[in-house]
Amino acid sequence: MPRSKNKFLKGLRSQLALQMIAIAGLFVLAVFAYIPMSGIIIAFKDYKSAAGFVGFFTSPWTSQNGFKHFIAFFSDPWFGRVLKNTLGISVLKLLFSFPAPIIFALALNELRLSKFKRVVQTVSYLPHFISWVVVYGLVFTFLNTQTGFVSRIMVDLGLWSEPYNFLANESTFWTLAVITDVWKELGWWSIIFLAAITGIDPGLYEAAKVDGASRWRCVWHITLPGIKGTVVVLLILALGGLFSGGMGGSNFDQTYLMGNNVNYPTSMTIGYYAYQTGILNQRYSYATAVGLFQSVISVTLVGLSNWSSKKLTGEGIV
Amino acid sequence: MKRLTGFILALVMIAALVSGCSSSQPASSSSTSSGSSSAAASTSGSSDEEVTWDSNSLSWKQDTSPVTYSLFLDISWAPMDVWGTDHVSQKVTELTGVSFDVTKAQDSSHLDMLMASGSYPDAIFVYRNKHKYENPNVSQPWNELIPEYAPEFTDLIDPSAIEAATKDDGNFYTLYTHFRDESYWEDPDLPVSYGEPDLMFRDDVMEAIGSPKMESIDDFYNALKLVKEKYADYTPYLETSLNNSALKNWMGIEFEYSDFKVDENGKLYMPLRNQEQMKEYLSFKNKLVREGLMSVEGLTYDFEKQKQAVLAGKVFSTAAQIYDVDIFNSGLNDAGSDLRYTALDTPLTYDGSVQYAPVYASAGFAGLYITTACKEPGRLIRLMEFMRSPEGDRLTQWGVEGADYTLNADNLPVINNDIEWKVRGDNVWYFGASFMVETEKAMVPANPEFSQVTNLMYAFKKYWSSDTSLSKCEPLPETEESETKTSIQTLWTNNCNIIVTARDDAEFEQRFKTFYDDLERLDLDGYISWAQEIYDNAKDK
Repeated sequence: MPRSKNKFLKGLRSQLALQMIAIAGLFVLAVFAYIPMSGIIIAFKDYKSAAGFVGFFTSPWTSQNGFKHFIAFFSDPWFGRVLKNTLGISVLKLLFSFPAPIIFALALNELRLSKFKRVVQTVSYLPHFISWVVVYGLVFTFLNTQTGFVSRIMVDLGLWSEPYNFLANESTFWTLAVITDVWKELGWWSIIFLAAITGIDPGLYEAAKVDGASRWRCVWHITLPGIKGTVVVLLILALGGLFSGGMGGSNFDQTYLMGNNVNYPTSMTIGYYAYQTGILNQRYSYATAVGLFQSVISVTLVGLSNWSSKKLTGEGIV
Repeated sequence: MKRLTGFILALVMIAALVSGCSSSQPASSSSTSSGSSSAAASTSGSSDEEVTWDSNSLSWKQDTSPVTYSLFLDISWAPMDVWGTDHVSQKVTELTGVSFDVTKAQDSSHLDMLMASGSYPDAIFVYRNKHKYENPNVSQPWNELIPEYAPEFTDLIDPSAIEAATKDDGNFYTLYTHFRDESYWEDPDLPVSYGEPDLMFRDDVMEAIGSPKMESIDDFYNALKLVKEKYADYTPYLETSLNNSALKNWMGIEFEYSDFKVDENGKLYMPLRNQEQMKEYLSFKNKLVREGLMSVEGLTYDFEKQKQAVLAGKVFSTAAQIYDVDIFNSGLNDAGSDLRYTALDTPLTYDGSVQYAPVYASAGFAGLYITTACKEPGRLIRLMEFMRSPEGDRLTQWGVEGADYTLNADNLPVINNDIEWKVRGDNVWYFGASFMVETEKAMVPANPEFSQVTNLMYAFKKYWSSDTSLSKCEPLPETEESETKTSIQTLWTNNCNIIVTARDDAEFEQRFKTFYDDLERLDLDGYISWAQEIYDNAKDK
């Protein structure tokens, strides 16, 4: 037996248990992630659900060289609107939801009372475990015009002449989406940055103190550069989500729950549009085409941002 | 030792993963009938005996041994999702031997997902998109099952119900619940559904503004203005996403039951395409919004939120179904309030006359489909024979007599509301329900001292007519026509309230134009031509 093969088998045997766990993970990935990808083919076909799984391959190709559903989506009257909403909400979340946990983690790191720090940290990431359904329930309870707490207080104090319509209003959806996203995910994402901060060599801080550096200087010259790698990785991943779920993947949930037939011009995102016109109306090929469009753009964005990051900072995920 | 432990741990994890992968099969055909698969169902002992719903020779009575089928229940509002925990299902099993492993719909797309995966349960009970299940790839035709397993059943069914359910391939895959044929609509002494759209008004506020007459759309508008002046913190008019038909219908535009109406020459047209009429309707609602007479937020409410708003005591008028006036008044009564609502018993006039002329164009409400996955359909079709009988109909819609209801002097059911709905189980397993039995239940309200629904059900009947040929103009799913239909629905759903909430005339005109430009881009002429052909064929039959 060739020496290299012998070495390989020997190595395999010595790690048999670990290799089996890894193989199990690969098996799950193959079954639930890669094999189902074959369904993408129906984006190019006139698929009917009565044909079942076999229909993925036996259904006829659509007209227009298989791109009928894509062309239908691009020429849909709502295409421009959903694209604008998806990008607009995602960019705003990137601008607010991304720096907020970094700033929060930096602030937490500066706290000296460890008990207080632990309490704040725990309280801050609890909203992450609340589902968006409950979050919407809270939003409705506080903001509805009939019985909402906010409107009643403001009207009773004489600050408003009548309740303000937060929920069925095109101009407030983006703000609500961003604020609720920041509130819900701030604490959770800050855990990652806190973990990165604790990985910085404490000796650097001591040396800086000796040199007379202030706290702000330490943050600027030691902490931030120390977590740069983590920030870049997460930024690349967040950019990849611009077209799909947004940071944290919340775009669909928010449109589903907080979107309504009054604020759809600003709340309808690509994901929800695919769900409404594709899944609910049994246009599965169309829904797949929309989803594929989203995925291609997202992968392209991840690739571009990774390349840019490597060029500019030397850091990247691939 | 460590290596062995790690090896065993790895094996256990893999086994857990693999078993997790394979356990995701949905309700599979699990019929375990014992001796019921005889193709020759017993008919009457003597061929001359007339078979009635009470005959002992009915096929369903010949074998009542235990059998279990899998069922998908597309009734997401049902209070329970397990067979055998309520009086009705227990009684059905006691009488027929049939039980179900139930999967209840989690949301509107649950069944679609299940069907797309090709994993059919033995039976599906569904009210939406019924046409999706009416083909031999999905369901077994009843016209083949009945002669084989319950031949006398055909003689007991109303032929018009069979005709209404028969598809172009000559098969019928179910018999619809709550079916009403054209003779029903021609009889003025029979009521409409308690889901009839209506407007209702707060009695005390109406009195406070001088009890103005409420006969026309203009009277309605004027009353809202008076309320706005007198009660600054009130919502003069609340219209929701689900209950938004009354004003539209009364202004002469109706497309709830069908996309089409028929003109005097028998030609189909789409009311939605009448831009002049639609502009009048939408601009009226836009005026209500801009003058603060209609709640914008209310346009997004579901029924629960609407009820909450009404019970909060600051809503003057609201659009709802006629049954809801009793629900609202009961709720107010239970909360210790003496506020009450009164629903109109005639539609408001528009342009000096009653424009309301709805056409019933539906073949029924729901249907139970026996899928191709069911290997032993005999007991299921026989169960349907029981369900369609008066005994089964009353059991599944009223409950168990003596426990869940008692009969009053008029032989109408007085429901025992001290027993929770999920314990009674009525109106959940109603696979063979008739409209009359449902109506009889609604005629004996829970709070008779202030109930209005019974009178209202009769009051609106005279405006209705029917055209069951129109019910045939429903496109099959995943066809070009169904894509056009769903595109129309999506455009209307996504745009109607956007137009209504325009901030000024220019924005209204721009949004209205955009909607109709988008609508007319669809192949509406092709859709109408397709429907015309179907309608003409149905009429000829």
